[in-house]
Amino acid sequence: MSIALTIPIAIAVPLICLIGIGFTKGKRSGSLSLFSTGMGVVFASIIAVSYLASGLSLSVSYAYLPYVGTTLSFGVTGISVLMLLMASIVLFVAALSGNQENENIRLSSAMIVLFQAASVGLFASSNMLLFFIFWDVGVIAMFIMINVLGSANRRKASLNFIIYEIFASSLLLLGIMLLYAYSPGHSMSLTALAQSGSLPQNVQLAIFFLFFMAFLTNMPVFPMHFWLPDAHSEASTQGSMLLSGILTKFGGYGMLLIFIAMPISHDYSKYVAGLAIFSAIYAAFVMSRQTDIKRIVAYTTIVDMSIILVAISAVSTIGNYGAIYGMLSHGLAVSLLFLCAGNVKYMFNERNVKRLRGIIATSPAVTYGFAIGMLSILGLPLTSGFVADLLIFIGSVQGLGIYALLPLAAIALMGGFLYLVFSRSFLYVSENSVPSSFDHRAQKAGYMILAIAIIAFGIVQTLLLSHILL
Amino acid sequence: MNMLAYDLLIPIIIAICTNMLAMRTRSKFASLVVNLMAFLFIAAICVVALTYGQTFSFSGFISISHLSLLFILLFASSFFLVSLISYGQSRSYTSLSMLLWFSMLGGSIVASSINMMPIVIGLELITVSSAFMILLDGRHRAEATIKFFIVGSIAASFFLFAMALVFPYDPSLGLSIISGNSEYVALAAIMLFIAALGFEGAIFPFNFWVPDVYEGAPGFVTPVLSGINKKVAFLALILVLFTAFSAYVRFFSPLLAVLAVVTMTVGNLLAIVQKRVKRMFAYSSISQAGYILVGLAVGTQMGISASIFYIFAHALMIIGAFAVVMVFESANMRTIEDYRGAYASSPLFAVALTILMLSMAGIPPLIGFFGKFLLFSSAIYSGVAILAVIGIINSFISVVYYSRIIDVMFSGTEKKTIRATRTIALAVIAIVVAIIIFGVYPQPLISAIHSAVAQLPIA
Repeated sequence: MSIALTIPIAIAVPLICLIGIGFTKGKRSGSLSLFSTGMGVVFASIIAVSYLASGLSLSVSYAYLPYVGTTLSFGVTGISVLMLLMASIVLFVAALSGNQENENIRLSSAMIVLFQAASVGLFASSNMLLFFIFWDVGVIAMFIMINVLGSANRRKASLNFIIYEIFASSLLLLGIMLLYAYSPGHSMSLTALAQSGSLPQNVQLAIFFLFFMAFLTNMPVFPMHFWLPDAHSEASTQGSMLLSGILTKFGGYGMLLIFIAMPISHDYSKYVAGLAIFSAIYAAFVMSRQTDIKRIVAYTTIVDMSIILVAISAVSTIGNYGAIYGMLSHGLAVSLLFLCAGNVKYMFNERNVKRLRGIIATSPAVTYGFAIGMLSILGLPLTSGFVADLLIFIGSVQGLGIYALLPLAAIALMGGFLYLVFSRSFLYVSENSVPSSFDHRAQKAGYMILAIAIIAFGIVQTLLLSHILL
Repeated sequence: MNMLAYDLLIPIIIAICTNMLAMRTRSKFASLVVNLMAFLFIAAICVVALTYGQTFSFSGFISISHLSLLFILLFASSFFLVSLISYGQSRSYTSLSMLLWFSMLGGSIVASSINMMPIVIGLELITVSSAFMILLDGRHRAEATIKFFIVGSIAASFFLFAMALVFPYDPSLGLSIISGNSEYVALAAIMLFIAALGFEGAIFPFNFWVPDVYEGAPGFVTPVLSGINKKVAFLALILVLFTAFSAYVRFFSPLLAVLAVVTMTVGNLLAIVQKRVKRMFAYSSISQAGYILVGLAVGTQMGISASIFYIFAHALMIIGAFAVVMVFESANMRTIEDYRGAYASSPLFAVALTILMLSMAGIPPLIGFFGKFLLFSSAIYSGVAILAVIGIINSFISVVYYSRIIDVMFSGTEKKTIRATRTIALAVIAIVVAIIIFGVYPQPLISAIHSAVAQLPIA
């Protein structure tokens, strides 16, 4: 049996578990989702180890829709292997410790395994139609997660979310259909995208613009980011972890693909970089006016994804490494932050950082978790964020010149503000908030797994990067 | 002399006769069993003939091609689903079954006709029996019945007038390619045909009757009107336009394109403002007719295959959706606000309706997505990208009102008592499973439709 068969199995297992969850109740469906995501980690590790050992990309392909010129083809390359690893870890932790209220376990586990199938399929697909299918499945799973399981204001947030996301996916679909109609041989594979340089100029431009807007909305970057703060802050803990940890990476991954594959993107890299730099600084300023702890974490997503877009638009090898590593690092760190923020909300029934005080006195675990996540986002050495930021800024300066350092200001602003929040709400011990409950072993295990992953990816980066071929 | 037509005709006739007998004894269960047997028989014949058979002709009026077999299979499945849905709902189930089989006869005649005469007969059979179906449940349905009957009569008269215009060119009225000296007469005939079938198919300027009749009809007849009658009209449109008038494609395809754009946009925009769920689905089914027209406007083999694929998809989706709406209506849930707590009351139907609406909105991997994908990519393929752009904008708009209902259904925990017979649940589950299976793996359906369309004389 070849290792590549692991990819379809990794997509099939959560779907089988989804059917299983349909027939179970309560706690048992929770353990099914834990099993499914745990198997996801195993499969991702098998894929990663075999890829790193051989350096060859894995691919597998079946006949699917010959009439539409589509094959069921999956492949894991250097970009997707790290995304798969990150996604599987985040999914596992979300299934393990995200649902501290133990409410609606059946529906939340069903949506987690559906989202698992979607994210594994998306990162592993080497065909734009499959990419689109998995994209929409993920969006719908996330919509139901926000709408049913979220907090008070969830309905408005979820409708906002679905409208932005379906707008993005409509543009994506239009782009894919253009690619299908104009590419020689009528194919929608990634190779057809890579050969798009031979298409007529205006078709290339249209495809690029449609894909770019779709991914920009999903990432999200400045003019299309309005869905994000509400969706993140109103979703359940699991929802916000998956939303910012994985779903925003769909857009980042797609953006990286089009900037690598489509030569026309290089003509626009300066404008894209300008937009991304503005977006990073703007989001950092908006963040500094927030008082809701989940909204604060949500805005770090916009800042970081904008910085990742700067690295992508630099079109340099190191910049691409930086973008991949940045997405990996940000996915782990931000899901840790959301896990901590969700638990703080659960323990203290309070999300306003002005009223939260001295959390460390009663619950040190959540404080350490938040600290590690925050430091990784700010790029402390020995965390994965450091490697990511280093590569991002080296690559961006190579590609775009000295102006690419401007987002450092956003990181500094974000760092200052996060430190202020952290010191006041978590460390300031003279007037403590009193928790109504404590975090359980499952939550502590969740902090630990993510913290270990953050530090491990910060230490073994050279091993990973030296093997990754773009 | 060919056996296949008799093979298909005999079960229908037997079903009609036995249902008549069942009417005398008022035995609902016997009638359900008869429906099941006849459906299985017809489905088996169609599948076998599609797999092994070639084209068969029968006495100059009727010819059973692959396209006819596909549509007969669709109609048989749809009618059987409707008979499952109405079991235990309709007070006069046996009469309803008989009328359903009369409609089935009409649908099969239209599907296999190679002449305009049988098309008219088939359409009238369907219209008249549908009018009776609406009336069957009581006098208070009279308004919807009259409206529907009048509209059907107007459509029939348009159709006959169009046939009269064709008569000088081809006295046999066969569906062979017409080409004459005077283009104007042919164009007038085309417009009359489109108008006549537009009434039945609910294409834009002829759609005014749809919301009232759909809402006025009993819950189990609405799926017949939107899931089957409409599809028969589109089938007739395909047969007439792309066989008899295939020499005039360049004239009528811009007309169809305009109708497609207007139909889907008007349907969608009006659906947004509806308060009652049934009316909303009525308008959404108008907009879906616009999507079907996109493929006809493109007019290539690819476009027509896509349209037929979408006809199949929409028949399944709308029958399922109206079945669920009927179930909720029996618990007095009519407006969108009433749907609050639907998931808490009945998870099965709420999830089924969610999947059906996602499919209608074109979310993968459901059948509606592939239908739209084929339609819009055929438009881009033939260089009318604007149709695809407008279509995609419209499916984006449709997400707005579908997501609102999903949102309402999943919120609220107030439980309402929802009574549904097992047969309805069975029918809805079957539809949802079919939607998912053909959404994940549409290849068999696509290739069957493609090879069937290849037999039409399209440029």
